[in-house]
Amino acid sequence: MEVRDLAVQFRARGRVCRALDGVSLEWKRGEILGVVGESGCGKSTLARAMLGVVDSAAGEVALDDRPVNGKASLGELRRRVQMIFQDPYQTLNPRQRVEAIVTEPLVVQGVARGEHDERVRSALGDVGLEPERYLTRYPHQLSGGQRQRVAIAAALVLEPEGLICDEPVSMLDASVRAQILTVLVELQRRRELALLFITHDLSLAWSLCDRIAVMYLGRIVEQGSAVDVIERPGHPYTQALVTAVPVPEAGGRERREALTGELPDATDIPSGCRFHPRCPKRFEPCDRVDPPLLDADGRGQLAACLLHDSTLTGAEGRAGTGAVNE
Amino acid sequence: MSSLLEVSELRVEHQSRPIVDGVDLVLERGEALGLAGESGCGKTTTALSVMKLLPSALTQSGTITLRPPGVDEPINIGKRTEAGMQRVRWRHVSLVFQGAMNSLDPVQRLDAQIAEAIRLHEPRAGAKEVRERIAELLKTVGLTADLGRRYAHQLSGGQRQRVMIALALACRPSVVIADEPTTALDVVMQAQVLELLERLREQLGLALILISHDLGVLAETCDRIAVMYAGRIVETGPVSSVFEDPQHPYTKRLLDSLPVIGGARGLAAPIPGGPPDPGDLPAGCRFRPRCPYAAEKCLQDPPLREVRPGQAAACHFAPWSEWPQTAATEARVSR
Amino acid sequence: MTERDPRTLLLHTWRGRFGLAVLGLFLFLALFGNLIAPDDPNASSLDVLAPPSTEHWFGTTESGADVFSQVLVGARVSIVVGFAAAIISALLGASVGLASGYFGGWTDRVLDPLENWFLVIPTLPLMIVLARLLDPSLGVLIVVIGLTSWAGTGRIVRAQVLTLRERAFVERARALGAGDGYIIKTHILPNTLPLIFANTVLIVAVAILSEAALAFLGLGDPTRISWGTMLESAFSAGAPSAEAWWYVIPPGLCITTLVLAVAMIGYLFEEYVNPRLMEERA
Repeated sequence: MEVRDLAVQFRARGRVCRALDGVSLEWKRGEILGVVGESGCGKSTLARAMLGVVDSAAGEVALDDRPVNGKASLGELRRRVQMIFQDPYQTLNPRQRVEAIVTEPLVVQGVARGEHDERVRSALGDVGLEPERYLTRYPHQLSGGQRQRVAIAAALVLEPEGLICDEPVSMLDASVRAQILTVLVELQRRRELALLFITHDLSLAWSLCDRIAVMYLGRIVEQGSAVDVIERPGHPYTQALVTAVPVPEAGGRERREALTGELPDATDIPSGCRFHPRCPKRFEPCDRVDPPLLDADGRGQLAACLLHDSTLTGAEGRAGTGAVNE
Repeated sequence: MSSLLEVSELRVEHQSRPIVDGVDLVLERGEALGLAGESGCGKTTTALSVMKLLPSALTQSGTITLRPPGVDEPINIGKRTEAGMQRVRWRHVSLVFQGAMNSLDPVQRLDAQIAEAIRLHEPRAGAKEVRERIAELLKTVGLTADLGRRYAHQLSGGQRQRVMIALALACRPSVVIADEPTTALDVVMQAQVLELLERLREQLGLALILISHDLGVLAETCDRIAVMYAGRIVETGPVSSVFEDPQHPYTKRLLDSLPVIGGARGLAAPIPGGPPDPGDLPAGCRFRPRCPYAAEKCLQDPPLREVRPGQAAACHFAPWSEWPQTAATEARVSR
Repeated sequence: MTERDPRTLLLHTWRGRFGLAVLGLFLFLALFGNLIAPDDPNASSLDVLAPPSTEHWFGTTESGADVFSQVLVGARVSIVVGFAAAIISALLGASVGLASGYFGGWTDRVLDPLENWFLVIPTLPLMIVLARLLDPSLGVLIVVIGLTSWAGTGRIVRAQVLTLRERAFVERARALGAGDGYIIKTHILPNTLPLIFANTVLIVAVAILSEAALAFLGLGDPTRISWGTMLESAFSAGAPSAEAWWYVIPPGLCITTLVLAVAMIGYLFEEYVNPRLMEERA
């Protein structure tokens, strides 16, 4: 799938909230793409806009190079790309049995009745839930991990090519988390699924994703291969995120300066580079110039930071030290 | 012993089902102790027991002794009545609740809530003194004094968490128990709050019991750590030892399953199954059904014993010098 | 929280059993009251305002009619009005609440003030006014009571629908391309019905009382006997000063008992509905 200059706006208290402010992204077949950022940065909105659940103010979404506009292409998109949500305790209709939940996509998309049973059983089996035991259960009889598995099964039943996972494990305990992630990644391997992994947990993105896009206040500020972006961040925000992640290792005590301040409201986006008020590396033009995604290392890693604009710093790469900061 | 807080044989039951089943803890002055474990393991219940704040449906037994600096007689929390506890709570030990952001009264100004806490313990404090204390508290947690005049919903999540911490410090306790203080926060806000707690410990000499399911958070903030499973402590020791050289299979598998930036990519084999139901505990070692190294011996309940200097584990086969690879521990997925 | 399904709640708590028993009894009377009544409730006799005797178990009215028979027959009106009005109220309240909660926007902007209007208006005066303007008959009574009591249900339904609308499973259905009709039918309604039901049962109680009140004020259907009309006749015949307690207490007690029974069942259902909703979040 491809997203080009997607913008989504909401009206909040009489002001315009630019939840997505020109996002362009490419999600390749079979790849695990991570979308990382703090809450409020727009990553969930991006997912919803991609599936057409939320109206976009500008930009377009393309599937297989064909723009998605109009009922037919939207219907096709919704068959080929599915979504799983964050809260396993809210993601299932408490009045529906597992069977009904997993069959629903088939019903809505008009798949022939005769195929339902087989597809549902196969999907449940794929997520590690024995159909015989689980088909007749209600959500309140299931644990968090099991509910999430049901949600995944419901997403698989249409045999999609892409799965958007919006923080699928952040509300689960550590051991259950590992189980669900294993299910997802194995599915990805077996079915050659493309996964769009939305998370605020960088360690997760590190261990699972092929490529990562880092979002801040409705824009992508950095993207590239997961290893490169995390080990050699080109954008100061990414850098701050990486160092802020607590490390479960002995000696993780050496603290670096935590990022100050908080994410500004999306109704009041700062001028110039939207990160400049909090940026430890900001210098003179940062409050006036809004940097586009620039090539940070010549190998496909992009960062929206003036430090990579060779015309300004006089050299390429991250050499920028002309930092004017308090 | 002259530790600040000593918990011995703490047991909490709900209709004769054990939620906390024989927990011993020691906290020294100025120390940060981490209490780790997944949901349902009893860590929050342990915290609430120390404050004697358990709901009446739960029965609590065991000894809890508090020896705050400047108080001659050690406080035996187990024996205190409700009236007696009210003098102890907040003054000597306070709690930052889980989901703290929703624990603030939505219809009261924030400074009024802090003032309330102060006045409950120092009824003779003058209005000016209280105001000054509030301003000082807010400043200590990195907020400006004028935020006190606002209401809870006008502050962001991170700010509210700071207010909760300020509230916990209102009566200058010597022990603060923080129950999952960063769980609902972003990684950046989390780093800020952790840094704040660290600073407070240094400035005020606070002892901290930090409860979290996030081992990374505990590794960064705590001196010692106790890992809980199914109502019991299965491992305890200094953070450096436990993280580098865990001595209980649960700790080890948990650490292995955590993705670490810069470390191996892909997923380690997850721990199968889930924690046991308190009403249906397995015989012997409670981790046995999920343990890849379980053996016949494990049908006997292993006691928590010292297996390395300063480090204790509840496993028959500890001390472990190396962890054998079994089918169950093989990494399933690599990237 | 222990899980209690409706059957357990109804059959194994004393409230449930009491409620069911009383309700069952009065339903039976509503259906067969006029068959069991020993005398024609409208028959007059010379035995005016006589205290209870072996011939007239509850004594007689001011026109010599048998009070006991009247009580038995009067059950029908109370039950019919109570349930019918409650059903109308439920249908109205549910539709309006559903529409304004689900569709929002202009629908909500129009319906919400309407709902508030009906909520705030003092019901008894409104009922009196309406009953006076229209010819008193059972049908009118039912409609009047229904019209004045739907707003409460509407509010509750609207609030519930607003939360449901944002739930992940609704979002997922939308992401699949499901239409509004499907979503309302499969996701919104099933999660709202228990609430509607619990609320409506309580409205039955209100409706029964309202009918009694209106009848007592002389606005009931004069051709029918109901407990309310009995009370009205009793008072206008001077029963209290004649100390004809047998005329006043039976209908009064019946109204109270029925309302109590209905209320108990209603509260039981609320109990069933609420912890469930809480449990889903726990």
